Amino acid sequence: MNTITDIKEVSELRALSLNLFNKHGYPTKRDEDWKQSPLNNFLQDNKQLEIYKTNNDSINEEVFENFKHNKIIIVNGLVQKTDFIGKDKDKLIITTINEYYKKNNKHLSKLFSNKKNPLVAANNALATSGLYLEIKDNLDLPIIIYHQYNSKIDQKQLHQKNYILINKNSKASVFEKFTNENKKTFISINTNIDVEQNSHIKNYILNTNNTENCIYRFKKVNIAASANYESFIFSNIVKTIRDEVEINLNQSLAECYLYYTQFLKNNEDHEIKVKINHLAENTQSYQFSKSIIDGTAKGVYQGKIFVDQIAQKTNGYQLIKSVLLSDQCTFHSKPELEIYADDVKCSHGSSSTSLNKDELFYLMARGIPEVQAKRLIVQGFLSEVVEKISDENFKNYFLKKTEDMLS
Amino acid sequence: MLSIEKLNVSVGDKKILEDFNLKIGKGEVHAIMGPNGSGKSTLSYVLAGKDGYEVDGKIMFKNENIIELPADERAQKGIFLAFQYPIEIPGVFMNNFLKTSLNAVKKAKGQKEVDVVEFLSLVKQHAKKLGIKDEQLGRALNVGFSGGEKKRNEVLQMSLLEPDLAILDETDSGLDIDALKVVADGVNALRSPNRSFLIITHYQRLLDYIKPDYVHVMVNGTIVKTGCSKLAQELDKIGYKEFQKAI
Repeated sequence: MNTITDIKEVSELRALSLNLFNKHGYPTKRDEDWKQSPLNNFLQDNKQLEIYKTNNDSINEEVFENFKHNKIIIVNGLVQKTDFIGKDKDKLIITTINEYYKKNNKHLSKLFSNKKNPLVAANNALATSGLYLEIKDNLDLPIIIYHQYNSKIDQKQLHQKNYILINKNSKASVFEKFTNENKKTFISINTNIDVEQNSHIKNYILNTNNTENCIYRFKKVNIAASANYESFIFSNIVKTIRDEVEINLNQSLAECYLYYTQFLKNNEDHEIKVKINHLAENTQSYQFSKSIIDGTAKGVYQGKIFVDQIAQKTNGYQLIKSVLLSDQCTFHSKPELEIYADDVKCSHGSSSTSLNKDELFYLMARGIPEVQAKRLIVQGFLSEVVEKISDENFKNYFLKKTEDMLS
Repeated sequence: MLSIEKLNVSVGDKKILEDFNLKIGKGEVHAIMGPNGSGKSTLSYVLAGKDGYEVDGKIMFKNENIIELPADERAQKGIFLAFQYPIEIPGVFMNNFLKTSLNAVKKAKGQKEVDVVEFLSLVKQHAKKLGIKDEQLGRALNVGFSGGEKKRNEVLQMSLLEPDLAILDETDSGLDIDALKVVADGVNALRSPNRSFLIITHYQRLLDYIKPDYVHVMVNGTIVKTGCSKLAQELDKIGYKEFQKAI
């Protein structure tokens, strides 16, 4: 059986990436892009983690959702099982990333870009597992990708590389559900998504119950003409995680909508980093993030909108709000605009406040006990983002998650 | 029903209410009128239990001193404040809020809580009387409501919670004549021998629709004159200057 090292272009790209990583090393607070990152300490303290060699590990079926959906189950980085339903079977191609390399063994360099980012370079150099998913038409049912990690990867590092291609005129909802039963692992997941002309992808992520590992999820999304990408990340009970996305709006009428809610307490932390590149005329981006921070938790949001000089008629919007429930918690917000075109509409706003006392009094003056009133306000605050989700089923799913999280 | 005795309220060094006394009997309607800054809204907030004030004295409600009780417990005991500026709370939906509020009050009273079906039937019935559309009940609390819609919403909450004492803080402000009549009709429908009202207003016009048993003039944090409903008409002609001079 061929291994990825047999594919010359991949071997060269990996070697190049390794050199880049070796030159830079792990990120530190001195790097502006990583200044507030919760990953720094873990990475500095765990430089010598053994690399996990993917294996056929067992599936945890308990976490399967009970509504009808197409399933992809990835255990410790390796695709273990797929289950596609009805006509959707003919609209999907799935294989491992290695198989994809073998069949497309030229022009792979775009999957190995972002060389300035040390952790992406490390992933490019070390990833030996992951999936290739191609969506060829409108899907009837959503896809759920179950990313499962178990104790076999305790105190190891795992690098996973995925490529998702959405063909022209296709629509799909892809829900990624992460389950971690492992400890002290560094997991790096690098996903390239190409959204071809006039396609629409909704990418929702459940980021919960992971306080024992260090996770870096990096996505690079290329969006073609009249196509759009909508993403929502729901984060709760998480620690030492960075969710990063770089989006290229490459052609006219390309759009992206990024939504985030996070509820952090105790000593939890979560970092969100967004870079949106408007690279063509008439493109639109929208970022809306709301965070509730409590205890000694720390939230970070870095969001940059870049507008190329040819990207006239750009519409870029960014709103970052956080409510701090304790005196010890922190939220770091860094909104940035870099604009080289002159006919654009870009706005950014960021606010961090404590819980609104007038709102609390109003609810309590209606007989609602303080704890319940606070819960209603927090739920309402986060739900405003969830309400933006355009897939009705997932909107209801995450509204319920929000309610359950607070009850 | 309510007996306020020697109530002193201040924020920092600023005294807002000074030795304030007021008694409201069961089923009575009292109106407090006064110029801007006389402490009327502060009185309503303090009665409802808002934090942020230094408070001293007695607030006896149904023979219990409630001065130390938080706002939710006062509401559960039967005090309702219709806000001058109802708060907008994005993401908190009317139906959910109203049901939570109603059940919190019912639970505190030891009554059976309502389920979704019972609640929807009840709320629609009350909303219809006040000319509130079903669509409004599906919106976020007071968000995007007009001034009139907000005030009607306050009366809707009052009619659902059936308080023993309703405090109306400038419920007439921001209302056109038609809306004022709808709101006043809603309040009048709630009048009963067991329910008392404290109406705070600048103008006499609300009192044309809701006839008070007593009218009090409040200036600089204290009541300077008490009379019958005719006093409101007098005030409309002569204003508050005379009372301010007296102090």
